[in-house]
Amino acid sequence: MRVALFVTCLTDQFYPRTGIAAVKVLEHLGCHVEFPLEQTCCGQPMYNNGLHAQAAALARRFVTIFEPFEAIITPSGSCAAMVRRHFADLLNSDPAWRDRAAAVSARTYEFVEFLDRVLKFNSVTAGVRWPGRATCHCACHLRELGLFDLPRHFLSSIPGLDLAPLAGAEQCCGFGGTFSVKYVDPSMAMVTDKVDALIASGTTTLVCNDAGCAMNIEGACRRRGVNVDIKSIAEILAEGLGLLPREGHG
Amino acid sequence: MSAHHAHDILFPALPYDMKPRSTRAAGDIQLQQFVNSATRSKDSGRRSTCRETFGERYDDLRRYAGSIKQQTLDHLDTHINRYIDNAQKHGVHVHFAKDAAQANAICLEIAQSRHCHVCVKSKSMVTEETGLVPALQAAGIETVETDLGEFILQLDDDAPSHIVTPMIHKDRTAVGRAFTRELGTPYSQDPAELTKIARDHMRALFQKADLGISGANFLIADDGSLVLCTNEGNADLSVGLPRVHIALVGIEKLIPALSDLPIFLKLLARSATAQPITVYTTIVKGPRQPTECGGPDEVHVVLLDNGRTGLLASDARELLRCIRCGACLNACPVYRKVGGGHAYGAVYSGPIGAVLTPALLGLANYADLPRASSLCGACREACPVDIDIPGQLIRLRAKLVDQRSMPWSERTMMKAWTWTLKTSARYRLASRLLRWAATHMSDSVDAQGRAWLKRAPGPASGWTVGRDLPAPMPQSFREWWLREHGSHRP
Amino acid sequence: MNTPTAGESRATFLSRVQRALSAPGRSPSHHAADHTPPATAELARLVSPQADLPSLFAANSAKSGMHVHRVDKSAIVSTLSALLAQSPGAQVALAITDSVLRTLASQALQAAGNPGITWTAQQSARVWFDVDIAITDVTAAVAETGSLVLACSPLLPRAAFMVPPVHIALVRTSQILPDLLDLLAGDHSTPQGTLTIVSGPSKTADIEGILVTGVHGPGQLHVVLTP
Repeated sequence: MRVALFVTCLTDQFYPRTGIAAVKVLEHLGCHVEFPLEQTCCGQPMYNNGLHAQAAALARRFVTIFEPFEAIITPSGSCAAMVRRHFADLLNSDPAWRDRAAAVSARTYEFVEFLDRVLKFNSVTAGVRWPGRATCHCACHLRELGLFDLPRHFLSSIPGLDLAPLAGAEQCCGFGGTFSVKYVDPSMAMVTDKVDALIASGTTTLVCNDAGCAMNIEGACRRRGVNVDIKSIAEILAEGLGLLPREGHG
Repeated sequence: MSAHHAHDILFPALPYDMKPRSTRAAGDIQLQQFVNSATRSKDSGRRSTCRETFGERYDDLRRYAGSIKQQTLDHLDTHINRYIDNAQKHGVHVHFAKDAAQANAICLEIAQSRHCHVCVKSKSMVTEETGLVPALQAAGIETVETDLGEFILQLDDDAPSHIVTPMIHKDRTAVGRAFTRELGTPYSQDPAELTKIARDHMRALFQKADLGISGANFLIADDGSLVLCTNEGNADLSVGLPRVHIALVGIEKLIPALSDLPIFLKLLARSATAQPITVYTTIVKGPRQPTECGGPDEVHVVLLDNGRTGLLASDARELLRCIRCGACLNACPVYRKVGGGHAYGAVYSGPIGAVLTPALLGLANYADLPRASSLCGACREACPVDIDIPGQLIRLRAKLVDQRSMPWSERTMMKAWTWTLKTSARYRLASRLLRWAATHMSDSVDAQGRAWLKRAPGPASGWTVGRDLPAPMPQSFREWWLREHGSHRP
Repeated sequence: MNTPTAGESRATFLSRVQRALSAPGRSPSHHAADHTPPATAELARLVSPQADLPSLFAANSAKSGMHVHRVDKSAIVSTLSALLAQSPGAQVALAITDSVLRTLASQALQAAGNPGITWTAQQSARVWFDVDIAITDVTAAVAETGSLVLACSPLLPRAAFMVPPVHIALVRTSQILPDLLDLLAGDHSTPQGTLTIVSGPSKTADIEGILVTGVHGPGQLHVVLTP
């Protein structure tokens, strides 16, 4: 299958290993992965901040770039939700773009979703082994795709991985894009809960499938001197399949 | 909060700035933990009871409930007309209030013309909206809130901070102090003892009251009845004992038929308090009928607009589906952190308040509310009538941009950012600049080679109040790809 | 009836609603028809008519905090008098529509040596403030929620089941409906007049979320359930 990776701005810049892991895992599973170099951003920050004309321009750009591919895969739940749920809001009123956008939206998947729903990936038969204890933060935007619990289910099926529960897992980490810098009081109080829950979970490995949440939680952990290894599911799989060396303290 | 009076808490100076109250609430660790644990336990109770009871049907059921309300709203004139005709058949007097002032004037006129002196009132958000209690009291009508939480707030001249559990921000010691001070009872902090004190105090009032006031949870168009749901039983007493009853009701409370009611009853109590149904559900047909014994001589229903037709005419119509269950407040991480401090600055708080208040009272007056959300979507998942609250928040944010209410600096920055993202060349250049600048400002590098900043400048400074900020990695994914695959895939 | 002068006329009020509904440029409801499930109220059904209604009712009313006494018809008098004997000297009042049940309850009073009072429509509702225990029958019951359904009648005023601290309700198993959907079908089967659905003792959790019973309504509720 000829698939395109939409790596997202934050993953590209801050968590490139996630993108590398995603490519290696997808190739390992027989996909022909391409990375369209013209890609930048899906427009989510503009959309969420109400700059819908700007967001629509970036959405049209996204559609044009990714149209040629059978599937578009992104390691970010929020960007996947932007394309799948909100491109329609932006482009539906434009007959020239409506159907093209819908077609691209329908072929866009969050990384774990693609593995689980399209490739019917099974970590046991695929030979994944990731010995160690970890806990999982589910990114909120997966709610919009009805996939909120998927990362946890997916991880709990990986041989060797001992998944620790994370208290208050359903609560947002307080990132929310510009929310985190404009409404610092609630945002900080929220991420404080998340760090407390991580400490209480008894593990330092936090699996988090969204670069924004990862930056927020890791940044708060560092400030408090709390040891944490943040990993995406793509990294866990790449490590568990021997495609990338095992990294981290534990 | 005690420095404020109830009215100032719910009706602050406009335009409202959310920051002072939210900073104070987030800084009050005890209050925050208190509200946090109360809301979390309600939220998890709701989740488990809805899942256990309805299983796979749950999402379909809330969409169905939402569609009933939506269709009612889409033909609201018809349903209001049917309601009036049917209610009048049972002898209910229906009145029409355009705004808060008219609503209060109608209630006052009824009370005075019937020579009512003592009013027992049951909990109603809409009476908070119109400020009915102070209006009655100013006219010399002794008016007592009979819901335990509202009663305590009334004693303290405090205001509700939650739609369903109005005194979620107060602990038992505050109740004990209020009772000792205002009722002269010995200090206690035992909830059962405090409840008994309130019960005894109010029973005397119920006996002498000649006016009862309530809101309504539902108005049923096809049989003209009004439905009251409570756990304490105060609404039943206030509609059952005094000779005159007035229900002040927003027009969004209509549902078409009695046969629709069970769907809402099943969802309302589970969403609000994880109960299968509220302890008392009373379907009031009207004043005492010939076949009945007890009940009021007169029942008046005051239908209230107060901005609702404005919502009806806008793309925020779906907000009128709200059945005031409070589930979105309990689910909301922002409410959990700042809601106990009345940070939403209006009668309705939490996610529903954040969309309803700007729609009712002006977006320019409440520009903070739609922005103060991480758009996590927990509210939407919790809503039993499927209101797309995050979508409405985004819609309001777009309106702020259209109205040029977004600060110039922010708008310019977002536009410049968009311009940068329109070609990959600009994106690459900008990300290199960012990496260079951030790496220069960084003060440490971690094991993965990531540089970190303890203090970020300008718009990012909020981030580093309590978090370190990562700099972009020395090698981006794109750079790795180009190194591995060249500019074209072979 | 002298109509208040404050407020608007029905016509003015409704014309504003109509104008709002026909406002131009309003985007269609978010609630797009395509994701509204084709459904009827049956989607909300939790109890089928085939279920064991008495057992379900008993279990659910117990869950809501009622004390359920499931006894044979012949044991109504002894069950009631045993309950009354627990509160010697209590002021007991009967507000029972069904004449057979009323007679049985009177016998129970006698057996318990309690004079009791039987409500008559001539009395003031205030009487109920001096009553400690009210015994009533019910109009219907609901298995789904373990609820009692009470409609007022000359023999059963609202105050009877709302004011006294203890309420004993006499329920026949034949009165139990499966689901709220069956109670509120809105057809001839729905009881007329003002209805109260009682689902447990009066409750509050307003103070720190701690559950306290007996706020305004009865704090203790007994159900005597007989075939």
